[in-house]
Amino acid sequence: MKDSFNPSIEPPKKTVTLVSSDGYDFEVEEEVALESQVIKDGFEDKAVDDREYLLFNVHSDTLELIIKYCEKHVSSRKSISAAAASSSSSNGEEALKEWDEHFISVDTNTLYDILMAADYLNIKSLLDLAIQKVADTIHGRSPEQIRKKFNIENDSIIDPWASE
Amino acid sequence: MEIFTGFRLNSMGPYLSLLSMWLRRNSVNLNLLLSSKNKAALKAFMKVIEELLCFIDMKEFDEFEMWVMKDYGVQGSWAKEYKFNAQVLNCTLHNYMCAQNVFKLKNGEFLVKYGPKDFGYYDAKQQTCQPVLLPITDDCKYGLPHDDCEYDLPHVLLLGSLFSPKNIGRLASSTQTQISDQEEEEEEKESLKDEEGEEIDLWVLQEMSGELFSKLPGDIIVNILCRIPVKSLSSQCRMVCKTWYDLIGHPHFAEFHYRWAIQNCCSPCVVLCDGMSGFWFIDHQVFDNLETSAPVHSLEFLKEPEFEKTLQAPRGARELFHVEVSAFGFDSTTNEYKVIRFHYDQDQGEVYTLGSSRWRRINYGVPYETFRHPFGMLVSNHLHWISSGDGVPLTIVAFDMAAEEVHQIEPPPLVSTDINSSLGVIEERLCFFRKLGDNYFEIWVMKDYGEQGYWAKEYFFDPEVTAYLSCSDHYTVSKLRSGEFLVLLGPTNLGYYDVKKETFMGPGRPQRPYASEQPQSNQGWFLYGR
Repeated sequence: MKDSFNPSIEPPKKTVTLVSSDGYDFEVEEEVALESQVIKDGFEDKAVDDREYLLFNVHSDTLELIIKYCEKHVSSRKSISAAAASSSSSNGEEALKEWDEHFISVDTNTLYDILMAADYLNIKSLLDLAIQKVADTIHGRSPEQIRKKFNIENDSIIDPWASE
Repeated sequence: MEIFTGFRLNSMGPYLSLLSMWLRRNSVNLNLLLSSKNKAALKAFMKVIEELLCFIDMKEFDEFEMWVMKDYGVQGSWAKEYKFNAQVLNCTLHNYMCAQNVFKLKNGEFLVKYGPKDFGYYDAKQQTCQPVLLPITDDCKYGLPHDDCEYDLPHVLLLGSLFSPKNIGRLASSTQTQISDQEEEEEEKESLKDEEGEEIDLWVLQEMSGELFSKLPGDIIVNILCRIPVKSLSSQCRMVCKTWYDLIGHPHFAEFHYRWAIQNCCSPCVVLCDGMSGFWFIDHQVFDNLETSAPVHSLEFLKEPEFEKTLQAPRGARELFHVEVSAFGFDSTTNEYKVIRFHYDQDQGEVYTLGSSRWRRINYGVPYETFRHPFGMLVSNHLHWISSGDGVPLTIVAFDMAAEEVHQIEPPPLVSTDINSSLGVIEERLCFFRKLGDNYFEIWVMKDYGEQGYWAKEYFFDPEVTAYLSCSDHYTVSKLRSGEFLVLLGPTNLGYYDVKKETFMGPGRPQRPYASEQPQSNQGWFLYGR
């Protein structure tokens, strides 16, 4: 996937090329790329033929994950609304939630990368997901564990309340 | 139609056939219903949960169901989402009101009434309930009536964060003993997880991730910390590093924490009020970490020991039932929580700031008249009550949370028969609900709150529609995200109303899942800041 998506066949839909910080091209469908508010904003300003975005802050490994997330969300949104239109019952939302949970269960390093990329690209739902993951990880842990988990330096605080 | 003898049939008239259809469709055992001593066996309530319209139906005696209108206004989008087991809730026929008092928490559990006197956290999937036993020993002391406990027990007054820089230390110290136990447990769990390979070894991570998380942008760190419950914040997160310590202790952080909790309807803390003068504080997350059968004394700290003491023995040796007006609110200028109370016969009141050790006296009193809304409405950092009495013109009393002053606000142009008015909050604006007679209902909204403020008549309910609604002193109107109103008017009717389309979904309309009629108590949930 590090090379472009479909180099030989003419894509059926409009595509946008995203270039990662380490120079890899990712060709994605327009609506997938538009999940990012930053790209969406830029899209409206830009000339129509300029469809390449250089993402200086996003490494290809992370970008691959991000695209996976956006594609999944675009496709399941469609299937959910389709199911709603045909009034057939679907558990699409729940399935997506599960998928999200699985998606975000990554090591701390990757979580950090996703967090930063989601912030940079301004993908609200993903940012929310990542932040909640971090919050869940922090909750219920001792200060020492949090420091370990997120590798935060202990600059030895003296708690004024403790002395009371 | 004779089969319905025994139900409360007032105002049901045209819907009887629908009800009978519904009963047949759901094959409810009518004999069972009718043989009961409880004449009003069939109950249903409406609620707004997660901004969706919900319909709670007490179909059988031992369980009730919650239906959710998934797609607002679309027929057939009602879905049966949750089931409550009345036995698990320690609910009897005589305190069926438990079905009305449910509130969904962010973790998916429900805050429910447990038995006649207590609250509990209910897991709808597992059908289990974790009771929270309120330490009520002498009902009279808290102004609770003896007989109708299930009607008058604490209402949920606020769902939100109780975080403030001042009470952080107190919270931390009161939970210290508990934390130390927990840490040990968690340490064990941690190592277990590592062995199972579910979580990557922390030490490896440490080497890998460098100092990444210290480099996160400030707004993201704040966003993360906002989602962490008060207890974890105060006792653990604060101790992680200096940056976090400073951040959490900053007054602005309390505001973020409060806003986030209110906006996301998550509830690290719940404040219960018994309608008179007693308040209880419940930290949802604290209960998460306690044994189900936690004895009451271990929950003592939740009540803020000092606070409790002052409530029981206020200075001046006043008995509690002399407190006529009490309210609880968030002061957004100092980011502190305050409890305010007044005695009619004195030209002074008392203020308690959460985290401080005593009540402070303020030299302001409130007029000696009835206050319709017992808790006050919090808008623009002011608490509001209506004051009106025989021969006294109606006024709106406002309490400035920051300056701790009482002043009066001019109400909308008065009508001589303005006796059924009340205050509300819609879209964070102060509202004045006016009901005249049986078929006139309008809502005035305060624009540009402050000195330049003026009243504007925003909503007017169609007289035909209003005729549906019974005449009562007590009513609640809340606005749904869709623009419609959920109206709980009086003891016998409910429905929802679309002002623009002038349509009213009254009891028994076919759009509803059921056509059952229900007495609707005027005692609902009061949410601040919504």
